[in-house]
This record gives sequence, C-alpha cells and structure tokens, in this order.
Amino acid sequence: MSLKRCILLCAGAFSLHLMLFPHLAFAMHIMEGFLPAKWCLFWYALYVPFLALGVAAITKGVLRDPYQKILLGFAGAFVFVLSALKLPSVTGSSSHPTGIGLGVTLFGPLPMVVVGSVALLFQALLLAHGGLTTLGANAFSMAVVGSFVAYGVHRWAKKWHASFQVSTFLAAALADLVTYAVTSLQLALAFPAVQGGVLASAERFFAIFAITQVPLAIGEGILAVLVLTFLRDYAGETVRYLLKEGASDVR
Amino acid sequence: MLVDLLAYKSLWRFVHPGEKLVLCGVFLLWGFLPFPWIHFGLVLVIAFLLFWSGVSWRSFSKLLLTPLLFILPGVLVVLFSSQGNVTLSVQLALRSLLLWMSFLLVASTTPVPDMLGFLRNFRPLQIVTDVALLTYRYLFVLSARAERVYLAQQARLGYGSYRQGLQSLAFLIGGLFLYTFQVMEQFRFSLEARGCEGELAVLPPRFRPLCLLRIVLFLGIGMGGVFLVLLGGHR
Repeated sequence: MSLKRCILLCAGAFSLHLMLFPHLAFAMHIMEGFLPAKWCLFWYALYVPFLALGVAAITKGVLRDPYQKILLGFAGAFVFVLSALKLPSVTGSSSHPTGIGLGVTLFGPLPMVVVGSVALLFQALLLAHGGLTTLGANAFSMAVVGSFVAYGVHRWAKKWHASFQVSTFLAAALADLVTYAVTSLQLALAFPAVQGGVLASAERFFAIFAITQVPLAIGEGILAVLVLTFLRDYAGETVRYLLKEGASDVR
Repeated sequence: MLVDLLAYKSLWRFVHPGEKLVLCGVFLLWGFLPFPWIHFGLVLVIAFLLFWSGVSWRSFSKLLLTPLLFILPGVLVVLFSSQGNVTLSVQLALRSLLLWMSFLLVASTTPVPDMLGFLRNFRPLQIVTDVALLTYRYLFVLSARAERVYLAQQARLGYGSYRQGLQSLAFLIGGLFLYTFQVMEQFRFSLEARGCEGELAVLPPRFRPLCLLRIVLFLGIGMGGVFLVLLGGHR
C-alpha cells in the first residue's frame, strides 16, 4: 500500500468517525493501554523529574504563603472544567481546549505541570479520557512540553515587544500544536511503520491529527486572546492581585 | 459523573484501597504480558468483579461507550499504520480495554476522597494529594456553574456561528475564572475564620483492615504471569 493511499484511507476512516461521533473528536490524549510497557516507563521517566520540579516549586510557594495550595487546587478544578468545555470547530468535530496556553499565562509553567497532571488524572479516572498507564506520555506532551513551549513563546514575544494579543495567540496555539506533534511522535515511536519506520509512521499520525488539531489550535489561540482581553478589561486588578507566578502581561 | 456515583454506592467501598490497588496492579502486569487470550479472559473476570461490586449492566455499558469511542478509531489508525496487521490491532484493543477496566474497578469502588485520604499517608505525596482533593471538591461546583452559563448562552443563540461561539466561550471561561477566585476567597475566609493556618485537616477515611492473605494471593497471581513469560509460555 503506497503512503499516499494509506494517508487517504486513514483520513477517510477518521472523517467517517467524525461524522458518526461528532461529539467526540480524537483527543490529544493517548488512550489507556495504547502504549507498550517500555514506552509507558520511558515517558514516565521523562515526566517525573518535571513533576518533581513542579512539586518543589509549589512546596516553596506554600511555605511562603500556605494559601497557595488552595489557589492551585482551584486552578486544577478550573483547568479540568475548561478542558471539558466544547470548543467550536470549523471541521465539524467539537473537541475540547487543552487550556495549557491559558493556564501557563495565568499560573506559570512549573505549577502548571502539577495542575495539568492533576486535571489529566481526573480526566482519566472520571471521564475515561486518556489513562493512567499513558499518564506519563500525556502529561509529558501536554503539561510539560506544552507548558514550556507556551512559556518560551511568551518570553520570546516579550523580548521582541510583540503585542499582548500576538504573544497570547502564539503561546496558546503553538502549545496546542506542539502537544499534538509530541503525541504523534509518541504514537509513532510505539508503532513504527513496517516500511519507513518511525518517521513514516509519525508522518501518518501528523496527517491524521492535523485534520482536527490545526484548526483547533488556531481556535484555542483566538479563545485565549479573547479570555485574557476580557480578564484584562474587566478584572485586571483582581488578576494582578491574585496571581503572582504567571507569565503574561495580565499581571 | 457516573463513576463517582458508583463509587459511593459500591459494595466494595470499605474494602481497603491498598488491596484494590494491588489487584489493579496485578491486572496491569498481566495486561502488559504477551498473552492475548488471557487478556480476553481477564476482561471477563473484571466484568464479573465489577458486577459483584454493584455496577449494573446499564451503568457498565454507559461507562464503556466513551473508551470504545476512543479505542476504535485509535485501533483503526494503528491498523492502517501497520499496513493491515489485524492481530496487532485486536491485541491492542484488548489490552486497552483490560487496562481501562482494571482502573475502572478501583475508580468505581473507591470514592476519590477515600483514595486521596489513603495516599495522604505517603508524606512526599501530601502536597499533590491536597491539591487533588481541592480540585476534586470544587470541580463539581465549577462544572455546574459552567453548565448553567453554557445553557443560558445557548438559549440566547450564543453558539449560533463559529465566531459567536468563540466569543461566548471566551466570556464563559473569563466569567468562570472570576467565579473561581470569588469562591476561593470565600473558602479562604471560611478557613481563616476557623483558625486554619494552611494545613487542610480532614477526617481520615474508614476502611476494613488490610487483608494480608488477599495481598499475598494477588501478588502470587501476578508473579505467576512473570514466571510464565520467563518459562517462554507466550511463544
């Protein structure tokens, strides 16, 4: 089977799925049991040091102000609800925002690793989105890579004096896109193509995810700009007062 | 959320979480061993255990719908990616189902606060369990609020077009964010009024004592799988 034909078949099957189940697009999370044991352990090994750094950052913050724990608990609930909201999409599917770009802007990258992981844990336990064996892989792609990409973009945009809207849009959209790229790579590493290996497989997974994830990333970027503009206009003081660890101009 | 409701009504609610976690770990271990037929058998065993613990057929089929909608397209993608390797795809679907069901067995028999209360005994995890406990307590409050706002926006044609949809969702999220902080401040004041200094003191959950015999039995079953692999039983 040629690569082109294979991609067409995958795209066809995927579009059929979207037509049959429009309320559930193929999420960014890798489902429970999809990764072999060695890859689960590998992604956990990459993820745990970042989680430890996040926990250390939180512990330091909590020692300074014990109520930061409460702030993070509520942030976790907010991110969970945010990721359960339906994001309007032009492709016909209605997927959910990851909330990572927005979360990093408001809470900072290291706390977001912990908050994002807690939200992913509850998604896996209560909603069957993602899984616990794949939590390491999902948390690495979303809470670690997504968070640091969003943070890096913010820093970069600040250095280049980009406007608040441009930096927020780029941070949210690129965090989303990079998350999906890492997810594709994780799946490709676990399931390399018979012909062409990991690269060919990654290309196929990119192509399949791109159908929904590229428009969704743009949508999430616009959404982040709208939300932060709303917060800046109507609650700038509150946000400045309450959040001390964020990365954006909202502070 | 159905899993949460089932956990509070479960007949196994007061069985020690340690036992359930070890049993889940054993299923997990077997799930990663290369025995597809045993995976199929274990899926049936867990289904039986779920019904034994009080999960009805109707609830189980409702719960099964979501993972199936994720597993099927995923398996389809792997099927095309591996150039029609049906065996690999079926094995993957079975493993995925088995692992999801083993976690469901724990999630549908142990309420989240009970599990977090048990995990709180491990000191290094305490800060994460505290954050998770607060997240769990308030995600229902925020979800209910978000649902009400979403419904009100929908009733006013807030999601009529893509552009309107994004605008409405932005207002919803912005409003929800402010509401979150409003509730958080109220929660903080209420804690301060009770003399709290940051330490969240909650009543420890009550369980039946840990049954070591069962733990040994579960571990034995798990080790059996490892020996089978070492003896080359999967070839």
